[in-house]
Amino acid sequence: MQLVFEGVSYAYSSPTKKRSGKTSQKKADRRLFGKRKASNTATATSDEKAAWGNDPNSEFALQDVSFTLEEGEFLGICGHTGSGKSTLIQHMNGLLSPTMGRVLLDGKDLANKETQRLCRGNVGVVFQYPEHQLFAQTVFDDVAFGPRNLGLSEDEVLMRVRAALEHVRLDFDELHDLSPFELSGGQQRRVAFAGVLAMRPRILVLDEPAAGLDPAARTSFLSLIDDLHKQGLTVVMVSHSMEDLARLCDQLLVLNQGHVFAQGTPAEVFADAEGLRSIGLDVPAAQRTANALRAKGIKLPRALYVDAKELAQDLGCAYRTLHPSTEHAVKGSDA
Amino acid sequence: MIDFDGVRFTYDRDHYALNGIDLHIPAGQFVCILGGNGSGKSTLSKHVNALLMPDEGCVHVDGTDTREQGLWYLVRSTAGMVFQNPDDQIVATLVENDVAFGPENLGVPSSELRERVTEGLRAVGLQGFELRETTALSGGQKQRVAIAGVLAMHPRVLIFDEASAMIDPRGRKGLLKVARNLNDAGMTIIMVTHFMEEAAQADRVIVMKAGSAVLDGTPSEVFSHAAELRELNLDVPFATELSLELQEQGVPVSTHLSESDLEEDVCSLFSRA
Repeated sequence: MQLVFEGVSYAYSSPTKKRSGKTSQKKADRRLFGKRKASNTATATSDEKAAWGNDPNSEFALQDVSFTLEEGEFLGICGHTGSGKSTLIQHMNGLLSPTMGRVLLDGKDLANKETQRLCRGNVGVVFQYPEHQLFAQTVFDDVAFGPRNLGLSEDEVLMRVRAALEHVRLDFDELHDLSPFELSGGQQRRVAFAGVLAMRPRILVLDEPAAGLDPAARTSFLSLIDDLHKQGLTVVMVSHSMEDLARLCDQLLVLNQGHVFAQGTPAEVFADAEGLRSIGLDVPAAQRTANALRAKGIKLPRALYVDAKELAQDLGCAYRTLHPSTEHAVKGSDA
Repeated sequence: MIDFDGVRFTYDRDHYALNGIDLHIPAGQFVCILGGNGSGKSTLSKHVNALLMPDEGCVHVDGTDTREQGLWYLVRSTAGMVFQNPDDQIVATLVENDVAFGPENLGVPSSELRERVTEGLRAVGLQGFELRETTALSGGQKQRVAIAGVLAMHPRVLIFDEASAMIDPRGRKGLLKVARNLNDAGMTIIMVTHFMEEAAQADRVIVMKAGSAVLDGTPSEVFSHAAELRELNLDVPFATELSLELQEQGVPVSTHLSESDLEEDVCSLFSRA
């Protein structure tokens, strides 16, 4: 299942914007803005603009965004607060439709209501703090909500709930009858996640999945996502952690003020440390240190350093070349 | 300023969330409290502003015993707290009304209220935000409004209970900067966190495990216990992690807290070849 963004722009705008079909939109625009502006542009009023650090004069939350998400890929999205990340992912399952351009899911335009209906459940979006969406009396009912709304039989629903809870490493027998609100924060998040997985999406979109979790819970949750990807799921992840993005993603998309600033593999994107810093981002800490050491004349072989272990290994190697008598306690040889 | 004497506390009579805490925090110190889930770190911080009462032992804030109900207003105006969820702490629709809420309830005269609001907002870098709608602020800005609201009550201690957990890196840096500036001006800061860049900047780091303080010292001292910290599922600052990995590889660096110090150390070792 392929997802394509073609020149997507999105403006917070007049209420007429969401109407489908060019004609009615043109008419509405003409009514509001006069003949000259009867095109696909719409002007935002100051009340409706995003307030998260964006240029207050900009009208568009997204401008001319184009990329292709291939099946099985793990795409990472990053950008400063207000750069359009959340707006972008809401275009991925038709929650929002572009003001200009198109979003195509397997070649079909997601702005089309019929396409949305057919594709429901194919793209699962997990918003930030998904535990805030929990509402049912029991864990079972909460996870079953989605599948039940697909009109599945109770047998099929049961199967899906069991499978989803297993996927998120929760014990069905132990938890299915408990109130979701009796669980710990980390468990609640997994239940919310299971609710999306129970829809059997082909593409999983996650908005900062590890936000607010402590280090142990972060590692655990991200390894869960990595596993799901390895089992064949296409994943899109918005994150502020350069390390997580470098470690997990095949491709990265960097947004700045609603524009695409950079696209490519982590190695390609993180090669431009200066550029990323100029837009309020950074590179993984290990890469930062590697760059600083390279600038002082130390040679390091890898294009991208994701963590301390990798960097230490290469530095250790280089050091032993200079001081051949050095002993080290590392497991396994790297001569 | 803050004294814990033999404090034990339980939520449910089943196990003790605080298991014998003896602690003295002098005025003007910047303390970070680290620990995993269930370690007791938030429980400890809630004893400082009398949100929780010890089951055994006692807590004194600037000499006042927190168990004295009649003096809770005093304890809570001395020690103010900022919580994790920015949305849970905002009560008014306009920034200035939210900041004025606390002092108003303390009976601060109206003539003084305006001054306190302006002062509070300036201290958090939000001067000019008086008439902004609280719903239109970013998470980091909301937290700063919450801090301003606490500052308007003229506390001597400010407690951050994982206050940066729900905001983005830029917002987090902003909060840390505010905390540092306040500390430079003499405020005692207690920061419950699991972000290492915050802990690395503190005067003192206390690591909690199962209701007890298992490590207590300067950041350098505490972060050198990497194995113990890893066992507690806690991170160490990147520079410390890299120092330890390099040592394992036979590169004789010291254990550093700061990336620039580590870089210098590595460069000098390589240039001696």
